[in-house]
Amino acid sequence: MLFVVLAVIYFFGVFFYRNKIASSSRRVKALKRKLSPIISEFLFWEEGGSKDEKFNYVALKVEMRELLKTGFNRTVLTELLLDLRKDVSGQARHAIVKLYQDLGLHKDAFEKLESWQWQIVSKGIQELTQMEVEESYGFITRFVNDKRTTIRKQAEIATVTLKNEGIKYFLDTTKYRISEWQQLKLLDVIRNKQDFQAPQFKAWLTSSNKYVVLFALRLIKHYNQNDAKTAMIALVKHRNNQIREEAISCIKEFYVTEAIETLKITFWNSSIAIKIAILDTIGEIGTIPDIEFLKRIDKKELNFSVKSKALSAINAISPNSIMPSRGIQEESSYDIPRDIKAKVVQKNEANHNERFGTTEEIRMEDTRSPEETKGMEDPELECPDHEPIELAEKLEKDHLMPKETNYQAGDDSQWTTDHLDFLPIITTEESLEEKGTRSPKQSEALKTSPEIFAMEVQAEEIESGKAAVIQEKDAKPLEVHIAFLPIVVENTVTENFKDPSLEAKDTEVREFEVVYDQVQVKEEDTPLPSAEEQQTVTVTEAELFDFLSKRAEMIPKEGHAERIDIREISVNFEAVPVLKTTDDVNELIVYDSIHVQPEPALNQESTPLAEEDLNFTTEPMELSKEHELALQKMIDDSIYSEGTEKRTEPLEYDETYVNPDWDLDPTELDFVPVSFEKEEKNNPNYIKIESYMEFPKAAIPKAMFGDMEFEASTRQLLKDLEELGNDREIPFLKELLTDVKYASFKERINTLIDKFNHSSSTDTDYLAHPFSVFKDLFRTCDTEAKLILMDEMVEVGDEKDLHFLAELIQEDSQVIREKAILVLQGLQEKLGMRTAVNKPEASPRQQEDTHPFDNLMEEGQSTPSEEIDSIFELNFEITTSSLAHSDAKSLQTDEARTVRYGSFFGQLTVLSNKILEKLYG
Amino acid sequence: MKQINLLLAEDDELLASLLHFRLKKAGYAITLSTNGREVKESLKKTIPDIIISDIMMPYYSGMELIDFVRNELKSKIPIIIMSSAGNEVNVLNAFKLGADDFLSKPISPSELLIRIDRQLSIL
Repeated sequence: MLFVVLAVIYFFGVFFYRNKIASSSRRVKALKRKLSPIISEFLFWEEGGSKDEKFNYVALKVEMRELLKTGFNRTVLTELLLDLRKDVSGQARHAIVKLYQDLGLHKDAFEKLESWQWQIVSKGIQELTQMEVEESYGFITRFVNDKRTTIRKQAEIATVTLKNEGIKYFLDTTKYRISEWQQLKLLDVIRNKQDFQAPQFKAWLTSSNKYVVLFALRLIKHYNQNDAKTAMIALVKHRNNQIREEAISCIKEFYVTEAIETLKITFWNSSIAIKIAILDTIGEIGTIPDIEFLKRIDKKELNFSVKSKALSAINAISPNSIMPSRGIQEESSYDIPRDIKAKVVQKNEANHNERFGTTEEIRMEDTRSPEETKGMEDPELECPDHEPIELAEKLEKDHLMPKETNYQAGDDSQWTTDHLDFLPIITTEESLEEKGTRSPKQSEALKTSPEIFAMEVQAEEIESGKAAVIQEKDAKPLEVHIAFLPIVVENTVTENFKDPSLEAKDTEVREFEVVYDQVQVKEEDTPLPSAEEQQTVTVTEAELFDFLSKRAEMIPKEGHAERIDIREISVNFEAVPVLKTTDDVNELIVYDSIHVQPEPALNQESTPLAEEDLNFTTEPMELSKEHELALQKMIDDSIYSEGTEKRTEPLEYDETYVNPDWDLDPTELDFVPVSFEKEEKNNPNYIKIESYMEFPKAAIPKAMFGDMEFEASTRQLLKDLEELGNDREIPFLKELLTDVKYASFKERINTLIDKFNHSSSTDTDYLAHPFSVFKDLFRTCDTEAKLILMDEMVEVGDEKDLHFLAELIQEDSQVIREKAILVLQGLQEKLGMRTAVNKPEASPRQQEDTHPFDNLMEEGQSTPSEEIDSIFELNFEITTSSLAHSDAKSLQTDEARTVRYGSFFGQLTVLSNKILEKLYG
Repeated sequence: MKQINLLLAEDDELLASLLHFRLKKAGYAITLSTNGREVKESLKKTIPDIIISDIMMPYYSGMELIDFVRNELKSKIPIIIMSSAGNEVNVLNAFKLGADDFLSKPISPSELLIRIDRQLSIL
C-alpha cells in the first residue's frame, strides 16, 4: 500500500514538474516568437522611413517598454539577444549590443554581479562581456583575483575583452595560476581585438607570478617582440622548467646568439626535455665552434635522445658531418663476382684517391714543421672537430696494434687504413672560408668553453721563466669494438690549413706561461707609533669617557634640585606645573603652550602646597578690577598676536556683569585652558577669545557655581536660531528670555524676536505674491503656446495666478497683453463668486472666523502686513463688467451654499450643483 | 518590376526571422521554411529565383537539398549555403554538389544581401 502511495506521489511529482517545465518552455518560445520581429524592427530601423514606419516603430517602442516591466520578459529578451548575437556579425551585431544597453538590460547583469552564487556572478560577467558593456570594466576587474575559479577565469577574459589596457591590468594584478587553456583563450581574445596595440610584454618578465612570466614569454613570441634578449637569456637560468623551455624557444625564435654560452652552462643541470631544447636551439643558432661542445655531449651524455640530438645539432651546424653508421653492412659480406668486385674496388680506390689522395700523398702533404705540429700530439686536439677520427684511431690502436706499443701521434707509419676499406669514409665539408670566417668572439668562446675545464690535465714541472706545456690525455683507455664505426677524414688537413682559432686554443690550453714574482717584505717608511703616542691615544679615550661620565653626572638625580646652567636646559613642550605664583597676575609668564623648564623640576618637591603659599583662599571671591585689567591686557595681546587689530578705544565694562565666584582645588596643580569672553553693553556681539592659553589653576581658580555649560549651550542655541530660525521660534525665545540671567543674552534674544517678526512679515509678502504654476510654464513657451496656456488659466487658474496675470498685462507683446486682460477678467469672474464668500461683510460667520487670526496676531505682538491685499492692486483699470457677477443674487446663492456646507445633504447638493455647472458651463 | 522570389531555409527561428525581415525590407518576396521537408514541398510547387539554405536542418540537410535541386529538379537556380560548420570538407562538398556560394556563420545580413545581388546579377 505504501509503495503504491509513494509511486502515485512520485508520478504526480514528475507529472507536475514536467508540465511546469513544458509550460515554461512554451511561454519562453511564444515570447521569443513575439519578440523576434520587434527586435528585427529595432535592429534594422533606419531614419527617414515613411510615416507609417515611424508610427509602427514608436508603437513597438511603447510595447517593448511595457514588456520590459516584467522580470520574465527581461530574462527572455536578454537570452534572445545573446543568441542572436552569436548568429550575426558586422553591423547587425553592433546594433544588438546597442539595443541591449538601450533597453537597460545590462542593469540586470550588474545585479547578478552582486549575487553570492558563483554561477550567477559568472553569468553576469559573461553577459556583460558578450554585450561589450565597457562601464562594467571597473566592476569586473575586482573579480580577477577571486578565489572561485570560474568567476576568476570569466573575469580575466572580461578584463582583457572590455578594454585594450585590460591585458596590462590583468598581468599586473593576477596572483593566481593561468592555465594553458586560459592562456590560449586570452590570446585568442587579444588576437581578435580591433585596434589592439600590444604592450611591451617584456615588462612582465620580472613578475613574481611565474605564470605571468610564462604567458609574457609566449606573448613576446607571438608578437615578435625581440627587444627582450637580455631578460630571455636570464630566464634560461630560471628554476622553473616551463619558463626555461619557453625562454629557450624564444631564443631560438629570435636567433639570440648571445645566449649560446648561457645555454651551454645551463645544459648540464637540465632535464632531458630542456637539454633537447637547448641542443635544438644550438643546432639552429650555433656556429662551427659550438660543434666541439656538441661532440662533448655526445661523448658524455648517457641519454640516447640527447646524444642523438647532439649529433643532429652537429649536422645542423655543419651538414653531413656525421653519417649513419648503425646497420651498415660490410662490403665483404656481399657476394659479388670477382670480375665485378675488382672493378668496383679499383673504382672505389680511384674515387678515394681522387678525393683524398693516397695515404702516401697525405703523408707527403703533411709538411708542417715540428713547431706547428707541436700542439697536435694528441689526435683529439689535432682534429677537434672530427671526433670519430680520434675514436677510430684509438680503436684501431686497441685492436690492430699490440697493447704494449704506445701509439705515437703523428707517426702515421705505424698503421695504415688499407685494411679498413670496408668502412664508409666520412668527410667534413667545412670549407676554408667557414673556418676563416670565425669571429673573434666565437674563437674566444671556443677557448673558454666549459668542456676544456672538464678535461683531465697533467702538468709538467717547468723551469721558471719558460712556457709550460700541459698535455692532455684521456685517463681511461677505451675498450670498445669499433667495427661499426666510420672513419672520418678531414680533407682540409691536406690543404695545409691551420685554423687560427684552434692554434690559439692550443696555445692557450697547453702552454701556460707562469711568471713567479718574488714577494719581498720591505720595512715601512712610516714608523710604528711609539709607546708615548699609544699612551696619548689611550689618554684621549679616557678623556672622552671622563667627559661622557661628567655629562652623565650633570643630569640631576631624582630629588636633587639645583640651579643648572642655561645650556643644560632641555626644552619641554608639555605643560608642567608651577609650584608657586605671585598674587599679581601681570607677573605671570605665559609662553603660549611652550614652557621652558629644567627637566629635574618635574620630580621636584611634589608635595602639595599649603593655601598660605598660594596667596588666595578657597572662599568665594570676586576678581578685583586690577585683575580684570590684567586679564584684559592679556586678551588684547592675544588678539593682537593672532593678527587682529588691537583695540584702541577704551573698554567699557558692563556693570551687570557678574563675576563668578571661584573655587580653588588646591590638589589640582595642572593648568586649566581658559577662554574669555567680554560683553559690551551696546553690542550684542561679544568678543570671544579661545586661544589656547593655559593658566595655572592656582592663578585663575575654577568657577564654583557659574554654570558655564548652560551659558555655552545657550550661546550656541542662539547662534543656531539666528542662522536657521524663523518666526515659529518666537514663543521659545520668549520663554528663554525669562530663563537667562545675563542682560547680553536677553538683549540678543530680543533682537532675534524682532528679527523673526520682521521675517514673518516678509513671508506674508511672499504669500501676497504666491507662486503660479503657469509662470514656470511660460518660461519655455512661444507666443502661441502662451495664448493656449492663458486659455487654460481661466479653467484651472485660481488666486495664485492673478498676480502673474497682472504681470502679463505689462508684457511687450500686445497679443499677450490683450489676452491677459481678458483672462484676468474671466478669472476674476470665476473667483468673484468665491471671494464674495470670504469678504468680511459677506457673512457674519466669516467675520467670526477672522477673529481668532486677529487675536493670534495680537499675541504675536505684531500687526498683519498691509501688503496682504496687494494682489488685488492692479496696474490697470478694471472694467465694471467684472463686477457683474458679484451681484446680490450670486451673493445670496453663495451664502446659501456656505450655510449648506455644514450638513451632509448640503454637501451633496453642492456636489450636484457643481456637476450641473460642469455640464452646462 | 518583377519581385524576386527567395526561398530561405533556416531551422533557427530567431535567425530566420531576422533574415526574413532584412530580406523583405530589401524588397524580396520571401518563402520561409524551417526544415528540409518543407523546403522540398515548396520546391515541388514553385521554383524560386534563389535559394538560401542552412546545412544542418531537420529531415533533409542543405546538401541533400542541393542534390535535389540539381539532380531531380534539374534547376540551375543560384543556391547559397550558410553554415556554422564552415570547415573545408563542408565547403568543398557544397561546391561539388552545385552550390554557388558559401557563407559561414555568424552571418552579416549586409554581406548576405550583397552575395544575393551578385548571384542574381550573374544570371
